[in-house]
Amino acid sequence: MSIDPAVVGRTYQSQRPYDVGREKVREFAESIGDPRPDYVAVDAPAPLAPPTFAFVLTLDGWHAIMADLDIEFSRVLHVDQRFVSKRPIRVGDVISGIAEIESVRERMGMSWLVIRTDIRTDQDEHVASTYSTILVREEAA
Amino acid sequence: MSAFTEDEAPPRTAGPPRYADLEVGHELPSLTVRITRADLVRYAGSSTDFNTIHWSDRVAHEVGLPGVIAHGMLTMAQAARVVTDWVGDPAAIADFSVRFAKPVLVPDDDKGAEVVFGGRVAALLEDGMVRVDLTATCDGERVLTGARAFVRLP
Repeated sequence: MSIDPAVVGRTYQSQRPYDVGREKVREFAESIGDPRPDYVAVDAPAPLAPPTFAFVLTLDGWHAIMADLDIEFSRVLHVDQRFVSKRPIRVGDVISGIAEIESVRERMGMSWLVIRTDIRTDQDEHVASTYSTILVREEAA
Repeated sequence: MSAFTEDEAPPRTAGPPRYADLEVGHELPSLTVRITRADLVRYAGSSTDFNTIHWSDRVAHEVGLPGVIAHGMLTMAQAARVVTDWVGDPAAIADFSVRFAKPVLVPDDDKGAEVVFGGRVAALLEDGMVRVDLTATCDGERVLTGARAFVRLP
């Protein structure tokens, strides 16, 4: 499938603010096999979320983009990923993401998209940006 | 730390690294992780990444994959552990990037797939910043390339 380059620059705001919860951070840390005290301490007022937790917000943006461009998730492959953090996300943060399609190109019959997501708190503090390249595999002939 | 069971305690090494003590080429302790289908289900739930290619062989085959593959983001999260276990402070990672060079195939059995992670200090930069280059290997093949973290050390 080919994606119209005119979509470059489109932005997608989170549907609702994401409330970073203690149990969610624990669940995430356990699922990556890394329940270190920084993430799961029951007596810490605001445990840290693991470095890749921000991807939950990135994925929110992907879903909005896939819906907009009529892309089926199973045809998406993740090519690369980068996180630039100003500070770690913590339990108690209320965050939202704004995703932007930074580039689209066609190569080897597939579409390659670069998506940037800026993550800010409800206090308008910019905590992180994520950069993803995804490719959309063509439909079977 | 008394509030934690032995299982939950972070690995103890010789203490957190200090910028002044490091040299380029310093090797970080490696990490070996086994990933089963159950781990993929669990990670799908925690991350909300329910892409069918991470749990259905049928759909994986339909889109041209040899079978169910691990979430790249799970591999990336595990690679981050090489850094956080070494530094001792997850907040020290300022910039972290990987390229998913090859999917990690996870067979539908009890053994799953084994991924071995490593890291080395690649550059000592200004203001206590260190660049760590990471590796991830499954069945002798690199599954991540260009994996690097910029870490601020005391």
